[in-house]
Amino acid sequence: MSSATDSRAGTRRAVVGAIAAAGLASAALLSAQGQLALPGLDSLELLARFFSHALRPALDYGSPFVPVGAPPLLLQVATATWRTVQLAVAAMSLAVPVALLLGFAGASAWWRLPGPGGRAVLRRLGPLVYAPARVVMTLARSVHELLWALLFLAAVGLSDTAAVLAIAIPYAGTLGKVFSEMIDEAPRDAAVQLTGSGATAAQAFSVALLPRALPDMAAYSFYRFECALRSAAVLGFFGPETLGKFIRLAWNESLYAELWTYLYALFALIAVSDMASRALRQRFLGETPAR
Amino acid sequence: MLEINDLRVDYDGRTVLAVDHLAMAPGECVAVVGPSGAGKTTLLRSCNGTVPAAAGGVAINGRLLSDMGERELRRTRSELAFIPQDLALVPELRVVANVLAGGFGRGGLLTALRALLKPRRADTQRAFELLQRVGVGDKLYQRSDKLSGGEQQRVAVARALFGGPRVLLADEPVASVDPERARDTLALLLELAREQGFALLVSLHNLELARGLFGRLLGLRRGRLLFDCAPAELGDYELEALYALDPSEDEQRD
Repeated sequence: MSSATDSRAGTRRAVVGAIAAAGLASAALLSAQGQLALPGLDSLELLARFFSHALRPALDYGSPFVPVGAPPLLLQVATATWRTVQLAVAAMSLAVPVALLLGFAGASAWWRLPGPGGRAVLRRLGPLVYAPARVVMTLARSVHELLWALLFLAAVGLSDTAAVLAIAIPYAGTLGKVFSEMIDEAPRDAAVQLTGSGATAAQAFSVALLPRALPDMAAYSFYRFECALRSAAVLGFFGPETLGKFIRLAWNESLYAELWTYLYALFALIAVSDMASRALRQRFLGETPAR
Repeated sequence: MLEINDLRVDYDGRTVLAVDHLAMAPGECVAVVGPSGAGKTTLLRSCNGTVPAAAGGVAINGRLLSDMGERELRRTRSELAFIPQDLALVPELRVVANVLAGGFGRGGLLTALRALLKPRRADTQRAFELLQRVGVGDKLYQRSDKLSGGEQQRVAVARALFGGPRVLLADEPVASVDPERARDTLALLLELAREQGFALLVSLHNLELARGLFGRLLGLRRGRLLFDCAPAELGDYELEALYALDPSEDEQRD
């Protein structure tokens, strides 16, 4: 008994030690390249000017060089925000259904559950579906949405459709992987009980496993929607008229007051989506506010 | 209708259950008693084939579970209701869906999805009547995890009844309730068995309760049947043997 505890403590020490050593090694490597040097005076001044506008975001254009026919600043901000939401919603409405398919296929619960009802067929079929699903999910998510965006930019130019795809592809991979793990980690006692009283694996899966994974899956999807909002904003740097485009323009022109207006819009967007997701989950999944 | 011959169950290379012969008639009510770790749960789980036999086996109406194909095993299991000690309800679902799950053995995936999303009116009616019968009719549309332990247990009983069982296997149904409630629960199970004509096999570690309520007792100790008799035939010798501590037991637990 005591020797087992000792060896476990030993393993833990080794792991913690290795992590600490890796941290020290990377710090040493970075400072050797001069990356950890203090910022110069110029950049400090820039930062100071940037933050000095934090409490004074622009409500109207401050620069005299406003293009003819440009909408009022606040309308511009609202339009960019709305465009960001549209892009994120479009990307998620593509990513979630695909992720559900991939996540089910990439879970092992549906073909490893005990019980009669086509079990033998499932056992044989399972790995044939499971393995490709996991490979596709890994491929899709191993390339970041910014890289997908660069690829599309090089190939066809970054239209809104391309931006939506650039977000949807890696998100489908990530969502699918997490969905499959949530399904596999759902407690199986009820599913096993059902197959013991004559239910098929498919019945047990859909009634005793899925409903248990669903609240977590919904919560995670909402979180990914928030990430999609940020990604949609950032992809504006490459063309689409989302918040990112105007943040970049304002930065290029050193219009810090306007820059802060767009940043606050992004902040408000994330806060509103967080509140909306909480309200929706409470309404439809019966979650208590504490969760 | 349920018959066990030369059943042996191994776990990790160790024999945890060895029963030479045991038979139950239709409608018969039997309690399995014995200390914890005696193999009561294993015996019950062997009866619906969720614990595989290493040798011998369990026959239902003359057919060995191990000889059955998937279709037949499924049909047979739908008539062998099992209530595990932890109940194994789906906590996120409404009570009605959990009760309807007891009838999945007779339907396909569509039956299951309907139970989940939009139960048939007749099924809901039947679930309500069964819940009413066990005393929790008003909980039909509640989320199952909002119920108290005792109420959840009644839902599990209703789920077992929904399949129209010929045998009901209940594993320690009163392990986590107070003595007063325990007697009520067992009395309810016995009453239902008489009313609906199914055989009842219950595991209990409380011998006094078993003696007072059941006509036939099985004594199980370290995987073997010590006695199989009416409570009146039970002598001091059997009782002492059933619960006697012996030094080798502690070693075995390690």
